[in-house]
Amino acid sequence: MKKLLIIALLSVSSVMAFSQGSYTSLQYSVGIGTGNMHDFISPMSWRGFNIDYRSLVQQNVGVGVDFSWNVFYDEIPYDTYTSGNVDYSGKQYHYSNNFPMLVAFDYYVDPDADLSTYVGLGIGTMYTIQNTDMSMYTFEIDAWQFCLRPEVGINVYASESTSLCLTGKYFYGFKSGDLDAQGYFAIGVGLTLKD
Amino acid sequence: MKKHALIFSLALSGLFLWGCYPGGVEYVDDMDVVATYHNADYDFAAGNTYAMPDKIVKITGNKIEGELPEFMLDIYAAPILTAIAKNMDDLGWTRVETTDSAVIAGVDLILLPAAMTSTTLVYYYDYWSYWYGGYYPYYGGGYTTSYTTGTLLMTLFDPDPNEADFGGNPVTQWTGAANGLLTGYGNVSRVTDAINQAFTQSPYLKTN
Repeated sequence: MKKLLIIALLSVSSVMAFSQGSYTSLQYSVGIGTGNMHDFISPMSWRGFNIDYRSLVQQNVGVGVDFSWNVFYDEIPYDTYTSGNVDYSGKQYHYSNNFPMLVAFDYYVDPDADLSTYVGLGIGTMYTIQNTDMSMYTFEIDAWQFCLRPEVGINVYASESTSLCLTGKYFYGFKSGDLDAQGYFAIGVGLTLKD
Repeated sequence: MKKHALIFSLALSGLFLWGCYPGGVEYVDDMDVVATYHNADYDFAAGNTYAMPDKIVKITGNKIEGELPEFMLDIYAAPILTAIAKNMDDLGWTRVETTDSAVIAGVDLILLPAAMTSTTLVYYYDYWSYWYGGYYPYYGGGYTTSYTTGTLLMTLFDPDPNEADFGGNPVTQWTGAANGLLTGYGNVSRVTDAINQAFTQSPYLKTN
């Protein structure tokens, strides 16, 4: 997984040598879990960010990297759980920290418009750490998951080089080791600088 | 300049977001946990008498060093033993109150309560200063803090020699463990609640 990421990063770096400009974006991000992630933690994540960098290889095609973080949290009421011949009761606290690290490709529908929309795809890895805390004990699962991330976004230009951005991303990490597939929507709002 | 502003915003937002990392436990009793284990092959319904000492032994390690065992103060032990006895009674068991070994050997189950505590020390100090004395010791020499957890163990075993293991030692048929953070306030209801929970989640102990 890490080798694939390094190869992808090197490939992207070589493409970026022919850059015609770049976008750098920082966004505050909220997350909504789906599937297994939602089963583990149902509330929204209110803590997260995205850092996106795109090098324009053509006027309407950007290639670059994404780094994101979202932490999900849920407090599970006092209950009894069974594992074989052992039953245990207590309150549980669930945490999921997700760190997608992706190479990304965007297509800008109308890059010169004041309101510019784009679609994109990210491929890479998502490092996930899931904790179940009970009393003073924690049960932890972590995994590097192969990750795909489709995205749509809007840049609203406030000046020639600065825009407000709104992004919608769906991160999907495939099953890896003991960790089942994990997916979540992330909605980001932030600032994009055009170079 | 704009890039510098973006990097500054990034650092600031990172600090802000880590600063409001979601919390967990708010109250001490949120840390209480009860665990029970049972031997699924043992027929608890086959018996109806049990014996239990009128003291709670403290697992301290001094018996390993050849000293006499220590016991929990009666003021704390009495409500705990009462709670255990009430739960056993509710499940249909009859307590045989005796100190005669021969009588104890004839009951269906023996229930042994025990207690232990564990203290964890946490140290904060300028650990780098032994090597790099030129750096100002930020923590001013450091400090320590600690927390203590307490565990009440309840063990049921059958005194029948036929139920012993190959070495002749009694086999645990049921264990209930209640663990929590000790506060020093002697809140016995937390312990009795945990005892009630241990028996509630063990319906297979019910006998006729």
